[in-house]
Amino acid sequence: MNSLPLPPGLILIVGALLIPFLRGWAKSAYVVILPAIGFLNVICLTSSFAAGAEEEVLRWTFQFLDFELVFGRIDKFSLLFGHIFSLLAVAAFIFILHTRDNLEYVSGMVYAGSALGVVFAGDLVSLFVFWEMLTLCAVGCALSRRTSEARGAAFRYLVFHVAGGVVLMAGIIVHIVQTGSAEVAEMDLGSPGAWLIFLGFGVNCAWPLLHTWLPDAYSKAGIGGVVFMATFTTKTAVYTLARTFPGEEKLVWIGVAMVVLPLFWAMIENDLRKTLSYCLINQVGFMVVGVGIGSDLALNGTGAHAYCHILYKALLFMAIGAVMYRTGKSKATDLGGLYRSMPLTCLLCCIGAAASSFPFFGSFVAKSMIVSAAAESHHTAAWLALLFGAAGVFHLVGLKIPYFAFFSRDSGIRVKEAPTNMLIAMGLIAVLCFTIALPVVNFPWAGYRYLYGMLPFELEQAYEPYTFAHINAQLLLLAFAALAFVLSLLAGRYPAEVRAENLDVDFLYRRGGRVILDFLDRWLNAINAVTRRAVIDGGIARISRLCAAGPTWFAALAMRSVWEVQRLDAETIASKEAALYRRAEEGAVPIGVSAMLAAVMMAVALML
Amino acid sequence: MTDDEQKPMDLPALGDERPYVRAVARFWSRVCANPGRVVRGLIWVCGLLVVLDFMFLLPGVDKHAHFVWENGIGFYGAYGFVSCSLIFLISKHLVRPAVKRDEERHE
Repeated sequence: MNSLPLPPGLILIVGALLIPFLRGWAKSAYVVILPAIGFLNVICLTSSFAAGAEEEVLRWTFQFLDFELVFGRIDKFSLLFGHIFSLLAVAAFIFILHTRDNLEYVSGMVYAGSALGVVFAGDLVSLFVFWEMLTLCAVGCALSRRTSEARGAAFRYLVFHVAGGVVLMAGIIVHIVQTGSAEVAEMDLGSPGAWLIFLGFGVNCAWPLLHTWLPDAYSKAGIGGVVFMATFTTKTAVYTLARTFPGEEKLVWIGVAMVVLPLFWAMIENDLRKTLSYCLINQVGFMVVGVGIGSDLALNGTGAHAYCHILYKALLFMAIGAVMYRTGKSKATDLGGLYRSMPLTCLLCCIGAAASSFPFFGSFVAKSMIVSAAAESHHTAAWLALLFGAAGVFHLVGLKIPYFAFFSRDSGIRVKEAPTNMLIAMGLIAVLCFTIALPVVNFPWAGYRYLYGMLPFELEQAYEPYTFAHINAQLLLLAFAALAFVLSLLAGRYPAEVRAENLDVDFLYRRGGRVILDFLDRWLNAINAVTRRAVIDGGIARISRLCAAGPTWFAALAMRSVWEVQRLDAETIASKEAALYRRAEEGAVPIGVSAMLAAVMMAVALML
Repeated sequence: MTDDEQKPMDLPALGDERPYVRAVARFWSRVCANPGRVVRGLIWVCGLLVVLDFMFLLPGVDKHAHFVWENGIGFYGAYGFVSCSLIFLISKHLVRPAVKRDEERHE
């Protein structure tokens, strides 16, 4: 314990290197103990930070070239994200304990370490390195499913995020050149560097039009890999946006679009993991709105909602993952009636669904802070959109997912309950979803006051979620959303689950890309062909012939004048000319002719 | 006993003898055996919540509303109902016809 705390990401990244060399129970024990040490390390870091009086502490700083790398920017904001990232890593590794898959284990462990690296990075250079490591680990998590679909999705993920990474790197370089500082600090969109950084973060945050990698990769990734992906990528992006662009008004409207639009795709999606992915974008939209509002209450709400959302979304992905593990299916048309075979998984899924918004569960005490902040800052349209999103996501995550996976018609599938390690992982998160929102005070490690105590800003007026008005309003919203769901089902108006692929805006890239390719093929290749004919087949051949025959031609021209002065007859001149050409071809031109030709060339050169 | 209040169906062959698993399975079995009761329960809850919303008309009970329309009786309920209805109507009638492609042969 005396050696703790260490740089939080380092423990997991370095520790991951040992995983492939372990076998059997030693490997299983190691992959749980290592993130548990990582979590303990963050707790130690929190304790040592709380003991000091500073608002921010910089630790583990190194000089690299002209930059000061900071691996430990410690304040309440970074500790909040560090706490939930390292805690979730423990649960996620318990969940995949049975797989003993090196690719999934190493990718997951380095993924968690890289996310912690981003969170605690105090400079843009080390942040960028950890940022790119996130991408590579996510690709590993996607590939861990080992299907051709997963390989395709992983490749598309890589293309998207490498492009985003290049934009981010360009932004960081321009920013450092312009400001001379590599510090992760608040920026405004007044410079090209800031714009590029903004856009680079936006790719990982799954902004509208840049979001298609998320449902694509998350629906095809490994059962455990998707838990890491759903936890780390978008939340680190939200964290970095909160660090660099708090109060940026554009984020409010980007967030509103994220809250509203994905719901329509989630509603008609047959693949339950895709439905969860669209709902994930919806909830990240809440956080982006919070960052855009930028008030202390909104940023506290963003942090709190990220914490709670990580918990319940991981639980839902785990529940559907457990169903996939047992049945091999994740589509609503293939599932149904699984409450008979997997009653505990069904119960845990329902707890995850309730935790998306129900009073006495995580999101109730967190998401409402962002909604209140929108109202307080007079963002009326955003407030209405957030309320719309809250009702919609309960409809989809809270009702559609459990209903079509576990209830609905009986699919006839009879399988075993999920493995014990999966149940323990899901049970742990379900307990956390509940305890983190309990209306108790001064209770160790539980209660919404414990969560609020971890939030970055001290509010002048403490936010109180458990008021009669708030509980009643939230229950009204949810109960009537449920009523709409039930009545539409009973009336046969609910969109039927059908086997289909729903196009997203990636259709535009793919179709647009093909149009561009055709255009380039038709026009640029036509220009290429004309140029080839004119230059390679025409011009260069002529120049080549000129270079080969030119000197002889000049020599013959000069010698003809000499032969005419000598009054030789035409036949003799023709034979001498033919002999000259033959000698030139054989490389046996008389020295006198060569010397005269050289003299003529020099005279021409001097005249020019 | 009405049609929707049937006897809970026998548990299928779970092959899982753990008592807590069987207890949870029995609970779900009872819930699913009576879907009508669940629907009626939900309607009662909705009604009760609307009635509770009337309490904010009493003096001294404040909603701490930011917007005037929040003070309307059942505003949140109506908003939730309309929002969800809009989501499935727009999805079903506008979005799905535009984006649906064959699963095997989509572009």
